[in-house]
Amino acid sequence: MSKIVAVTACPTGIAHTYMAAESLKVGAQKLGHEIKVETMGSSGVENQLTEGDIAQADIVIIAADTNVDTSRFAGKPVYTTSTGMAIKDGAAVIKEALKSATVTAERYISETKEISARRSAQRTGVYKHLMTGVSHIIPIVVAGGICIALSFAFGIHAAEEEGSLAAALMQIGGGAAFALMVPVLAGYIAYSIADRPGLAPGLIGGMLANQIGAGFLGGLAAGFIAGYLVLWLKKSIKLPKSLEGLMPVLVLPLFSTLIVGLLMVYVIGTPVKSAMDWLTEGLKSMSGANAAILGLLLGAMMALDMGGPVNKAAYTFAVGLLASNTFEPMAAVMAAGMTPPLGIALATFMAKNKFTPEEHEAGKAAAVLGISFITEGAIPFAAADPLRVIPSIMAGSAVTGALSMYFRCTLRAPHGGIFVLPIPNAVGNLGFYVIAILVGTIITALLVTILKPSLAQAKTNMP
Amino acid sequence: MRVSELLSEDRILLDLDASTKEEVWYAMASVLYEAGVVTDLEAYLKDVEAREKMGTTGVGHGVAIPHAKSSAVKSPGLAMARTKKGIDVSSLDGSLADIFFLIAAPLDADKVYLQALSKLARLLMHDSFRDGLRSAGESKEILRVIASLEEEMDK
Repeated sequence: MSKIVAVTACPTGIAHTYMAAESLKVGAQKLGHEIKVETMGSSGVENQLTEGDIAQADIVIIAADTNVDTSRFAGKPVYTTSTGMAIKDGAAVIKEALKSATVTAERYISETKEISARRSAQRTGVYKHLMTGVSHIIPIVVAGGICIALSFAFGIHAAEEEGSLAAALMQIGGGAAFALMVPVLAGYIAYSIADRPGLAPGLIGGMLANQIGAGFLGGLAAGFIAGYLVLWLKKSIKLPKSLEGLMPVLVLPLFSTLIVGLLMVYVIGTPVKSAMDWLTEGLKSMSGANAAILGLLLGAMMALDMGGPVNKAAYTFAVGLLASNTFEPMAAVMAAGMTPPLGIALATFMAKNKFTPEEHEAGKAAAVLGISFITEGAIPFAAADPLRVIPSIMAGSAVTGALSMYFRCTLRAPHGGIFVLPIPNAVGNLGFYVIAILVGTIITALLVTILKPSLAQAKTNMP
Repeated sequence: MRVSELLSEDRILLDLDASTKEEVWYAMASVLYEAGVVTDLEAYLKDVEAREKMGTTGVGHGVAIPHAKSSAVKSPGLAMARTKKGIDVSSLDGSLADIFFLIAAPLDADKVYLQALSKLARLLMHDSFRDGLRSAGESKEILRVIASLEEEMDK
């Protein structure tokens, strides 16, 4: 007996959706399988599948004539057909589905992307604003960081020679790209909060944070103050109808910029600069056990929710420190973000008898996602068996983070996975960095392999 | 709302003599027109035809469910016909249809009504339901078949 979940849907949603659902039910009964069918009809979704239903299902059948989002079935074998086929012969569809439903590596990757997209759409409040800012600076920092790394390829002091290519690369990366990082971060945080009127005071406040030396902490402060300030000004300032056109072009930008600017210069700038200096000095002088402990913490955070808020907190911390020329946490965070999918992929290769053929296929996809630093690649496995998988990936990531910090590995670009490793000087202490990633991957793989019951065992333990 | 409430004896045509699906539609739609459900017979039939062009409503097992949401419909309504011989409706499974349900829905059809129709759609997938409709001798018996299986399903 197999457990099946199904979704039916059609364009009008009056008849075919329900006939397909009933026909699948009748067919499943005839064949002695258990089935739950969700109908997406014109009177809404009925008999909705829960996460538990999906986790327990052996296969998923989608009988639809419209597009059905399959991201919630990531990692499950899915068989897709039309409502017509299901209505014509429900039992035949079920037989065919059990025979040919598959997980392909390609589908696994696209489903992981859908999960990430859905997660970012669900972000709200302060977290959403922060992530809007961070996502806008990532491309700038990647491009800038790699330009700086390339400049060093000509020699550590090559950029000091005026007119040389090394100097030009340094000007692009350090002089321009990295100088934009904090202003753009602040600008887009404010933009996320207050829409376009937030951009001016955010960018300018961020620029001031740069000039004062208040780094990314100053930028965060400027961005959030600017955003909420503009919201408040919009509500409080009442102009006669005839002058309302002046609000977005003169009144809001001028007053918000004045207030944010003066706050940055006279009130916030200096204490935040001290905090920033204390943080970067502390991180720079940190070594041995202390560095390892920080790496352990950052690593575990990266794996805990695989791209969720805790993961992003660690990631944002590391990216922000790049603006203050602190590169060790970035290295630890990226390495620890790569090992969860990599470790799981290795486990599917090592313990063939503990994973279904679909999971072997999904493992290959997880490997591709892992080398690209897409931690979300571990989610389908973690969702299916959280109590075994999440501790395993956290342990691997924590060790990788600790080793990377201990060996003082550095990383100048905040993304790119394995593909930034060959770029000269992008990674400092490259050999040990690779070792850190490998050790974490192996630890995760071993733990998953030990904790997971074999397929035969899992079947007999079923209630 | 129950399917049996949407249908009544005078909206069931038994042993209808027809040779094309359009003839069946016309006969059933006329019943709904006389009952005041459909306000403009021609306009409604045009909408049914337009829906049919999007994909056959011959759902197989000898059943067809022509339907349309239309501005020519005043209130939700249902009519049924059983034809003397099977009629080609380009069914999904190639079968000839002898059981027809014509569904008339106003443009702003509400949820209660849609749920009743979804129940009818589900009922049609059961062999026992279709057998009951085919062996019924008179309209009253058809209503009884629908009511009893509907009750069973609600359990």
